Amino acid sequence: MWLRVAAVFEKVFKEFIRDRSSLFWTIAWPALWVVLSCLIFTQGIPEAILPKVKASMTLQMMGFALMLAGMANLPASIAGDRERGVYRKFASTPMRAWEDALGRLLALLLFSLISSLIVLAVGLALGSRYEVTVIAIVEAVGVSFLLLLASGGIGLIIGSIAGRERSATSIGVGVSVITSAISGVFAPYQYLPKGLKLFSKYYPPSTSISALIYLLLGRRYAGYNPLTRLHTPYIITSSLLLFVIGLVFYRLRLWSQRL
Amino acid sequence: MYAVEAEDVSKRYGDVIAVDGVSLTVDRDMLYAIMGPNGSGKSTLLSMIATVNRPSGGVIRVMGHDVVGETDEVRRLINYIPEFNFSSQHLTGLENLVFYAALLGIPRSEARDIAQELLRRVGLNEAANRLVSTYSRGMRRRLELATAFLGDRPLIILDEPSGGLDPSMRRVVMGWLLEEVRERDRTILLATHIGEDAEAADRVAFMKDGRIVAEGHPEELKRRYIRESIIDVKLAVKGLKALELLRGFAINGRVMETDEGYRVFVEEPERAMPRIIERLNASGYRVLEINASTPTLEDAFFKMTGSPLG
Repeated sequence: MWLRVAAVFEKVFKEFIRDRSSLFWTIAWPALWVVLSCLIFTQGIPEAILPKVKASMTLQMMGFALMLAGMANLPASIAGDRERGVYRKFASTPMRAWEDALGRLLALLLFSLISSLIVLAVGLALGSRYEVTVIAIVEAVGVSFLLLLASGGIGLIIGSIAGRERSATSIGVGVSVITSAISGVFAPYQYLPKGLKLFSKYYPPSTSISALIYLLLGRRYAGYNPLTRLHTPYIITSSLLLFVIGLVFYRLRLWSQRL
Repeated sequence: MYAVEAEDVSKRYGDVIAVDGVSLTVDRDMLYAIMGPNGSGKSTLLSMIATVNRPSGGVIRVMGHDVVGETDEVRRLINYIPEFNFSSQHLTGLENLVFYAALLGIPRSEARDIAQELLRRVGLNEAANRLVSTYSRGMRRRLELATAFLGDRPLIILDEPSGGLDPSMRRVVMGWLLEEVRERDRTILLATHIGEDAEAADRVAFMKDGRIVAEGHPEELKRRYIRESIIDVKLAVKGLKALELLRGFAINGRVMETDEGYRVFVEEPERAMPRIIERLNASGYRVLEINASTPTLEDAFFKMTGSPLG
């Protein structure tokens, strides 16, 4: 069984890194936004806080990269394989649904790690700075994992429903861009209208990104405290719930017909 | 013990009956072809045997194991190649084979060597480390056929194995399959709408509208259903008028359209041929070639069912 998990992991990861479209949406585009944000949208900001403002923008784009990986790359991989009849082939082998899912999710995890590190590096090169403890970094990694789980859950739903690889990519990119735009991923939380602030607080990916910023830069840059005693369990539960719903969709749509 | 036994198998999708009461047996160590036009239920039948689809009714056993009740055991005995191009474009030929080897439980340490040997057999050794996105359609299909030989499974199930291949390569592919049967004691069950592919089989079943309508050795089927002679007419252009004209010469109006012209079922080809040429020329159709032809399985299928394969 681990042989099959490893095989799926290797296949899907190679597909991610060899697909130019995947590399553009998940790495190049967020990195480009970091460049634009740090060079253009920071005009007039006092020098004293500029490194942290850039750091905040970088973290937002790191979060955006994770969202894209989960909501676009993952479903494209699933829909593409279904379109090609790979799942029909899987169905005749000893392959289990959990082996395929785990392999794909591990590939997503590694690819997301690479993409977010690249975006972080671009931000650092452009002057973003962090003053953090090791504990804060560990907590930030945990929050990033929740963000990836939530995005992956949405991606599993998209991948299970979309008939084709292209439509899965389009839907995934669309969902991540639109929800990012209205939830403050592209702009500071403080500048959102009231209604969108509410959405930003309760949409699992965006509130995870706010948690990331809060942990590494403080409340001033996050806009609010997302790690209260009530809200922290909400982030964890809602992210896990989205992920589980995604797994259920994936199981029902792709594997239930199988004997 | 048979390789495959199907008893009164059916498959329904709502009101549509894709497979209707099919019963057949496939002996071990043979090449068995199910031949029929697109939409006849061949792929659905194969997918049920391959445990991909659940039968709506009936029983299927593979090497004595029920495909519904003993699914895991059946999956350890088969290798199923669907009709579609399932190879990943972003992997190389070698990587694709190593991946599918892992699905069958072949450890990585052995898989690379096995994959390289298979790529050599199917003539893709020089393209082994190229991405499949650079392969032609035929190369891609050859790669997918190579996955059929992974794992030493006793039963290989192939859906349209020679789809997308030119006639010369199709014959090579059928040669590989016969080699697997004769030299490696495998059983091969394939579905095809190409009569030429089925000619190489040990036994053939004709399938139409979800049912098996005839079954036997290829030569036996031809003898059983074709008593007439057949004239093969190749024309520069085809047309309804040419078809109507030829029906006038055919027994019971039986004329089968081919890619290059028509095949006409007649009693006395020597008398019919000059008259056919004369009438076609008079109607403006240029005859490129005309000769008495040996019956094919496609002819037998057409005669038996009244429908062409393609």
